[in-house]
Amino acid sequence: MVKTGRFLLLGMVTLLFAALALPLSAQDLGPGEGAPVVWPNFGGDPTNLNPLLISDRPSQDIADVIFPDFIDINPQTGNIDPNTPNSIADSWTISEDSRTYTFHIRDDYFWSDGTPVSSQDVKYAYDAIVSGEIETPLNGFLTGIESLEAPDDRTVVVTFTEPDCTALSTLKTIPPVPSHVFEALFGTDYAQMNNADYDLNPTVTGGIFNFANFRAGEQVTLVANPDYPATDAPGGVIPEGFIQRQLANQTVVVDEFLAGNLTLIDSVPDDRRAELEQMAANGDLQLFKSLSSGWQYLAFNLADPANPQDGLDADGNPIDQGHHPIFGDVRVRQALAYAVDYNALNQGAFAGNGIPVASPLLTTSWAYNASLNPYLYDPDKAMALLDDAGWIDDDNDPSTPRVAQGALYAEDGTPLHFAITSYSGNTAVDSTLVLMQDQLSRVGFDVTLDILEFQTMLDKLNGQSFDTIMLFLGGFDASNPDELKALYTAEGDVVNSGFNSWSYDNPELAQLFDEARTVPNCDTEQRKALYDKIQQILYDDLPIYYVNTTQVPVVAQADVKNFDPLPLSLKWNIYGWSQVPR
Amino acid sequence: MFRYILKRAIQSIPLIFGITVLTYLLMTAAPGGPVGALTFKPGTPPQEREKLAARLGVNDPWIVQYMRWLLGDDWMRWDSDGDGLADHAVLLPLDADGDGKAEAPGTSRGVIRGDFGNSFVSRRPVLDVLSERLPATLELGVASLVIGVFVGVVLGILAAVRRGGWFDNVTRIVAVVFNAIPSFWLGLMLILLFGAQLQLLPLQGRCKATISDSCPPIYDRIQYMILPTFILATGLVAGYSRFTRASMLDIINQDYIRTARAKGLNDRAVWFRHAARNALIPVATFLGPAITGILSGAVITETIFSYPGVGRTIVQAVQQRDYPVVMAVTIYAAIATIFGYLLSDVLYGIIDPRIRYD
Repeated sequence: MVKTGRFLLLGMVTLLFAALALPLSAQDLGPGEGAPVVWPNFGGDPTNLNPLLISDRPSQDIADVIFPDFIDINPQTGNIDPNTPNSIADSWTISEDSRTYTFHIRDDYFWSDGTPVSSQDVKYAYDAIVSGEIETPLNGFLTGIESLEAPDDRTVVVTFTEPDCTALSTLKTIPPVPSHVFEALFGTDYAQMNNADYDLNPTVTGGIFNFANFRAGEQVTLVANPDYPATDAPGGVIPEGFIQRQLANQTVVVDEFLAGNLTLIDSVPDDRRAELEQMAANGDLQLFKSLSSGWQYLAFNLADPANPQDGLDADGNPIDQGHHPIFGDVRVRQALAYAVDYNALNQGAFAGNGIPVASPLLTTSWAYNASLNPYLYDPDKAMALLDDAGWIDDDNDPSTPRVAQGALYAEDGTPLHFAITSYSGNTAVDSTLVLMQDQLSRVGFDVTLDILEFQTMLDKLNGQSFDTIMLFLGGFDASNPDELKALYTAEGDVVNSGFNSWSYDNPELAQLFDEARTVPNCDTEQRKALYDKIQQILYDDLPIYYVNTTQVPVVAQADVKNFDPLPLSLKWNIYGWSQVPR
Repeated sequence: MFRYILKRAIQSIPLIFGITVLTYLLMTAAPGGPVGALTFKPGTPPQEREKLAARLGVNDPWIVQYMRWLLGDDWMRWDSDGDGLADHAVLLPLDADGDGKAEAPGTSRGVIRGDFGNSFVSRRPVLDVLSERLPATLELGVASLVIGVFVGVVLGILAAVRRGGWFDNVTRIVAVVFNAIPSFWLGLMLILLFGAQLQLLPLQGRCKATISDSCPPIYDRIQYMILPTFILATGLVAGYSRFTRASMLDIINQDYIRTARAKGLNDRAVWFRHAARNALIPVATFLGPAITGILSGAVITETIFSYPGVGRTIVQAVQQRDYPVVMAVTIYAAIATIFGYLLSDVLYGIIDPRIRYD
């Protein structure tokens, strides 16, 4: 018996030592025990961590994990749902006239100083934004709201001036802030917020992580929030913290990742993609492909670039902006689209990873018009359209530029010459432009490449003095097709400050946008039909030729457990990412 | 000597003033501006962009912008009835953003009052932004200056001692090569070799990313300084070694050296005690250009190595058209350059008894 007991004791001691000697499994890590998530950033320091004032990506990346949302898109469904993780509204009701939304606020969210998150935090944020006193990009998004009230700590009541099907998307932009702290710091003198210490030292936060410190040019450091609601983070927040590390460029980001100094890369450069995909195939890292939230496009200036004008005068009446001598004619725009050999372009510039698009809406959007097909390569059709538009091949040599003979807006004899403006420093754009220049020359376009430094290019874009411009535009909200309106209506056609820099004005389109926003009961089918029509018009009128969107590879270290990105959110479950500290 | 320094300091004031005028003119003449990049988000209404442009004052003529930067704008737009809105203005419109309301009165800022303004991008006081970055630049600058001067002088003396020999030839070739290779290329190659391939040295940054409050003391992160210091120091080593060698060879033919040899002193005493000490006098004049070289080199080196110093800040500020930051760094670089040249002259006067400034 004694002998048996000794054996048992010896066995237990051996097991204990074995357990201590074995490396800790990432699955066993408790809250705050995992290695910190080290996130790369080569876009410069965050400029402001006050969620009301943020206008740059590095700041937004931090704010996403240190502040809760009022309401948000559920990454699992793609809809704005009640009780979406990291959102404080757990339910809402809509009045019969579809104008009033009443939200209930959860009671299990707390700021880092222990104060419960309440409806006052939403109310304060809203009041500050609409005061016009703070320098916020959010002001322009909160349109159509008659009032926002907080009758008690758990209720927010929002009344719109008219039924608005984009109401939830509009309200999604309001970020709750710790009103008790802001009241003490700024009161109702919101302008003080513009240059406040809180901006880069948010002492009280309330997200998955809490703010720890900001080291200029080096990193922003966050620590795990031990009080984050268990309903939103089952198992607690595992990583010890979150570090946003400043790095020089994308190439170095890859090498830092390969040296084990980064948890992941959220945007793999094209020239390293094959290497990382091979490593993923070997099991040396985890790879996930996410659809980009934007597209690369070639926009045509439809108005006279020599005399840029606003779309509307002070009274809202259209201004005659003249016509672009070449691209004022839709047939020439279509000819250009048919002259582009997309497959060759995709192989040459995007290593075959591009996805052609026919609509400005993301393919993940509920309103995407799947019946549209991208313009296919058809040089004969391109040449026929050019002939029809009065741009003829006067010497029967397709490789020399065509000239105008009876064109709509160009004098006879004008060569079919134009410039594509773009920016330097992006290898995919460089390749696209060179290939496109060559392809277009085969049907008689004479293209000059006008590659500028980014800010200089923006100046030309906003000044509306370009012929065509190639750019990437991203960050779209797949749930809200209405946000495209600013790109295609006369209100956005303001020289130097509007987003309709191509001067596209089609009253029918503006009308359709308004109808889609105010469909009775926001019937999804009716709205989709209207957005389908909008996309069809844009497809036919072609103010912008969408080159493509791309799949963006995301890679993570092989030993990060629970890394499970969704197309709509890379870090939706970042609280559970589990990596044994090295 | 004091009078000389004072005179030089006073002389430098119009120089700095001229530099600031020229820099502001060139900066605002460059295409592009801060507003486009700060509001590049679809849906931002044109009015918001106008308001931002009005607040930053970037639509004003460059001379008005310059005067605001230099003198503040409380004398350009002021509030006499105390309602918080301006009611009088000179040089500026009362309603700059066209929203039908007068703007807030100007602020009593301006460089002349010791206020460099706020960054357009981060909205923080420019001096705060720069003071956070200065330690990193100083640690790199001092390290590379000390190493560059020491190694360069030693190599130059040894090359002169062994002139015509293999050591002299090798140092000459190395000096020419290091002078010729662009630092951005060499930096990238060293990162690839020592960081990515051999994984002997860190690729980027000033210290390891941890959740601690600050970087550890310099002796605990020396490995992060090796590559950037090497890059910054190579130009100095190349320049100083050639300069010292030429100075040594010039000295060695002087009469007093011949006298020293005639007295029977051995070679070591002649070269190092008599020749080297005097040869270093003209070398001191190289200090001004050396400091300037380090400042300009830091712009590239800090950017490549993501070292959080002033050099990297100015690159970002120029890209973002953050005028107040660009101007502050310009003044800092101008003062450092003027100080470097003044230091050279003063040192020359101290170590060479033949030079008298008074």
